[in-house]
Amino acid sequence: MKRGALALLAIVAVVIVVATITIASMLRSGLSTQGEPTATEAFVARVVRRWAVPSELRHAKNPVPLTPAILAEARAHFADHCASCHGNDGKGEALGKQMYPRAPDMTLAATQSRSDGELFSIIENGVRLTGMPGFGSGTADSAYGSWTLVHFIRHLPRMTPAEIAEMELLNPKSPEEWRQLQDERAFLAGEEVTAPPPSHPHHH
Amino acid sequence: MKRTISIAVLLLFALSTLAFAHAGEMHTYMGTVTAVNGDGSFMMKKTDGAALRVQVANTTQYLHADGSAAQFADLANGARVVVKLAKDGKTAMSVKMGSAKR
Repeated sequence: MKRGALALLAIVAVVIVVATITIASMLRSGLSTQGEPTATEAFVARVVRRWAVPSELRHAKNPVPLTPAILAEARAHFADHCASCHGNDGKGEALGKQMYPRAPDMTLAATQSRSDGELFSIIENGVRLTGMPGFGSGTADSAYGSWTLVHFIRHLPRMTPAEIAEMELLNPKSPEEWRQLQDERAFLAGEEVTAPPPSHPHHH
Repeated sequence: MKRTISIAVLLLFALSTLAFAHAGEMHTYMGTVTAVNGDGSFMMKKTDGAALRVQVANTTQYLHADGSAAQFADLANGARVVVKLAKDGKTAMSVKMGSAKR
């Protein structure tokens, strides 16, 4: 009983020390999203994220067959729903690079080495305390869309400039961005357009 | 009380990623190529008449107006281009090429 009480006391002490270090770190850096997560944060997040994937999904294979049509459908889906944070090429050079943690470069092994089921789970359920929302609605349609996106994520390391150009046309745009795109097309087609100011596409 | 504070801190963590999110700046310019240099750069005359030197990189993407792939060697004097510059204001992220100015 005495040994049990000592063990409990030790655990409480460790928790207090870790909490103190965490709070001290937060007070020093505030809640800024600038900077990179520490190695400890990244390690804990990776481990917890792996545990958080339901075991029946962890080793699941993509049930949707991969065809050019499915890949094109997923490319359009990604351009419309995902690219604003991840970028059309999946490298995270978009809104996601301002987040904490940063949106990952999904062409790299850290993402590509994940199982189909893990990627599906992240798309469907999101990741807490990050910018990644859960897109799943629990319907068969939602699951189908997420599995097709898994195919597209696998394709990211082999993206071509033509594919990215096609996706740019499908990215969500403000009326100003649509006008600019039309001006660019007209200009490249040889038409005269009035000189627009340099674009500064900010997204707040 | 402690539980409320904990939840509030976690919510602040989650919301801070949205509240401070801000995309990087990218500048797009339309113009006509006036010179292609041997050092991996080219000069263009923007639609407002000003000259701009554009540096290219290994990561620069080249496209024809119809979306098909192009390359640096396809740039020629008089060609219309739409250039997206990186945050440094010098390096092209993408160059779209159209027809020569009429």
